[in-house]
This record gives sequence, structure tokens and C-alpha cells, in this order.
Amino acid sequence: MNKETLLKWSVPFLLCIVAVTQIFLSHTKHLTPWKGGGFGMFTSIDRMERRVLHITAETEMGKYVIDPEIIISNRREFSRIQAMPSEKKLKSIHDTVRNSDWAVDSTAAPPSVYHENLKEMGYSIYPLKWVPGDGDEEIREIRKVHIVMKRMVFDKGSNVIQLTDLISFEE
Amino acid sequence: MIRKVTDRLSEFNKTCLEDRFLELILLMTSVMLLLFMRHTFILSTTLLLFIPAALLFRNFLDSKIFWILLSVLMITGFIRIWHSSDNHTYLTIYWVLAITLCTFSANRSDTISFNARILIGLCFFFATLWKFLSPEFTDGTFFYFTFLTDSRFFEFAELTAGVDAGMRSHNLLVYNVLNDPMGRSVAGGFESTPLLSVISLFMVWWTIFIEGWIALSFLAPLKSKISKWRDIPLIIFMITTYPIATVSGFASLLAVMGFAQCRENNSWMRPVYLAIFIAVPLFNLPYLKVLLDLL
Repeated sequence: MNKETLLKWSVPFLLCIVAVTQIFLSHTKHLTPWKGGGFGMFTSIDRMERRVLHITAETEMGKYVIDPEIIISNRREFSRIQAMPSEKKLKSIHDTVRNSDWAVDSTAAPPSVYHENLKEMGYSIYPLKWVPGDGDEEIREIRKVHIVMKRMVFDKGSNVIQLTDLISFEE
Repeated sequence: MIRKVTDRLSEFNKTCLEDRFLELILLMTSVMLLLFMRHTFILSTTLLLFIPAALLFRNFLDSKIFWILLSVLMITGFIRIWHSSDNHTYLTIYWVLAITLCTFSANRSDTISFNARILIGLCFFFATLWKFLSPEFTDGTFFYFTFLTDSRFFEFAELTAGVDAGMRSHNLLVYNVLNDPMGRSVAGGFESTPLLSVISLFMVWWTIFIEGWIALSFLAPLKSKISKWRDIPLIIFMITTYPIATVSGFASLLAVMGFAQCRENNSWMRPVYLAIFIAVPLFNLPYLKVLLDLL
């Protein structure tokens, strides 16, 4: 292969390698079609921003929601998990939840529109917060941590939008 | 009169665009990078220092070192954000790499034109392939959902399918509740109109048609008839897509690459791409909103 051919074809070849890899990762490793250089934007409703991370802790006092932003405060790290969640990444969140001290945040109830649904599903309407302060109701035992990355699916026949599990970790 | 205009255009094409072809590609690319590559603080700050220097000192713009440094800077900045970068960021990096490699070529104009044409063709080839790989796209679900939830398409959905503000606010409330990690709702119902299904399906086949046409014509051999007229689908795509889905960075990049792939058999298209490149900010004007207000 001569130098000019190499100069002409190197970048198109690189584009093909990246795009084929992206298609593979998207079909096998939950990479969102919108990201990763495979030109899959505007093909699926499964955008990175529409992936929702649910973190639930089951304790001696009941079932609580944990805000993912408490665990992953770095925006870039959070988007990395949303773009391509893996069992390893979810386990690392699980370990952080397990190895931290928690208390019930009785000052931070979510908007009232959530309350009925949370109660129906057996959750406390109050979330958990990190690093308990004086007078907070401290959690003594976390029995189970359930972490699930959900994606949106939509049925245009019935106009119903749903969240379904993309990948989960529980221990 | 028409003769006079075409003569003037042809003269302009020869003196300004043919003789300074490569220089213009480098200039347009630099301006595009300066305006639209702001993904990380380090990248945008360094580009802010690099590019004006290159625009002031043209020898710098033409040097291997400048483009190698720019490539290294962009790749190192980009690796950290590969997972959240859009397709046109990838294409921009391929384009900068292609320019860098062309500085080593004996025939720089040919190498850069070839890369522009093939990269555009491959980009649209994979975009079309992805559409066939996604059942959500081919059955119209993607466009239907997008028209109901993506603010860039609200005016279009209202004008074409009658999805009004009341429906939008109901849908956004349902959507936001589901999209909140502090809630535990897992289902909700949207409001829509029957016409939206028809519009969505039209958009599906229009998109596949226009993107497939671009892919075929840009990847076909240069001597083929479809290749000779390749600029038509690309220009139709740009002027029908970007005033609605306002992605100025991508529009600007396609205008630069479109300009760069103009060679012997389509050199007359250069002024059109140059005009689009200059007019990219106009794509951001709220045409559909104004139209809606008028109706």
C-alpha cells in the first residue's frame, strides 16, 4: 500500500471501525444508540438523558428512595453510567450505598404528585440522605439495595409511555 | 442579465474559490471549530488561543505542526467525553484528522476532497443503517414520541398535526415524572392527535430516502451519474433539516465538508456551500414559531 492510499483511506477506515464497534456495543452492552460515534442519533427514544437510575434501600425502617446524585455527584461520571450502564458500574454504586451512613431526610419530601405512587409501592415518601446530622433518624441496617437503570419505551397505538428495566443489580 | 450573473459567478469561483480552495477549507474549518467545539473547558480555551493565531498568521494555518497539535488536543480532550459526545463531534474529529493527514500528501487538494466525500457518504450510510436496525424508527414510534416531547419539534408538530400547547404540557408533566429518579411511577399516558401517526410515518420514509440518497451518491464512483448530482440531496437535507432540528455545529461541518468535496465535476457548487456556511446562524431563527403566530 503506498503512502497516498494510506493518507486517503486511514480516516474513513477509522470511522468504520468506530461505527461498527458502536453498533456492537449498543446491541450487546446497553450503549445508547445516540452516543458512541455510530451515527445512531435520531433513531431511538432510548437517549442517555431518558435513562433513569432508581436506587432503593430496604432497611429495618422500611423502603427508601436514594437520590443518585448523592452517590454520583460528578456529572460526567453519571452520564457515563447512563450512556453505557454495566453490572460493574451498578455494583460500585451498590457498594457505596452499603458502606455509607444514612438517615431519613424528613425535610426533603418529593413533590406531592409522587406521594400516592410511592405509598402504593410501599416506599416512604421521604428519601435517605448521606451523613446524618444531629436529631436525624439514623438507619441502622440496610437489608437490601436494589439498583436499576430504566429506559423509556413508548407504544404509539395506546399512547402509553413506560419505564422498563435495562439492567439491574441487587444484593 | 442571467449570462452576466453566471459569468460573474464563474469568475468568482475561479479566482476566489479555485485558486484559494485549500486555504478556504482550512479557514472555514478553523472558524467552525472556534464557534462550535466547546465541549470541555480545556478544549474550548485552547482552541480560543490556537485558532485566532492561525487566522492571523496564515503560515501557521498551513503548517503540519498546527494540525498535528490540534488533532492531539482534540483527541485527548474528547477521550474523556466519548460516551456523551454527539455524532457530529466524532465527525469533526475525523475531519481534523483528515486535514492533518492531507498536510503530508503530495496532492493535498485531492486527498482532502476525497476524505470529505467519503466521510459524508459513510456518515449517512451508518445513519441509514441504524434506522433500519431500529424497529422504533421504522414503525414511526421515534418521530411520534419526539414530536410530543422534544421542544425543538413542538412548532412542527403543532403546524402539521395539531398537537397544541395543552397536550404538550400534559405530556411533559407525565414525561418529567417518569424521568425523575426520585419518583417510582413506571407508566403514564400521552395526549396526541390521529394525524401525528401519519406525519411520523412520512418523516420515517422521507429521512430514510434523503439520507440513503446522500449515502449512495457520495459513496458511488465519481464517474457515475448518481455521484455527479450528489450535492442535491445534501443541500436538500441541510435546508430542510437544520431550520427545524437546530444543530448549527453539524450544519456548519457539513457545509465545510460539502465545500471541500467539490472538485472537477461539481466545482460550481462551491459558492452554494460557502453561502450555507455563512448562513448557518440563520438556521437558528424561529421560522416555525413565527409562522404559527401568523396563522
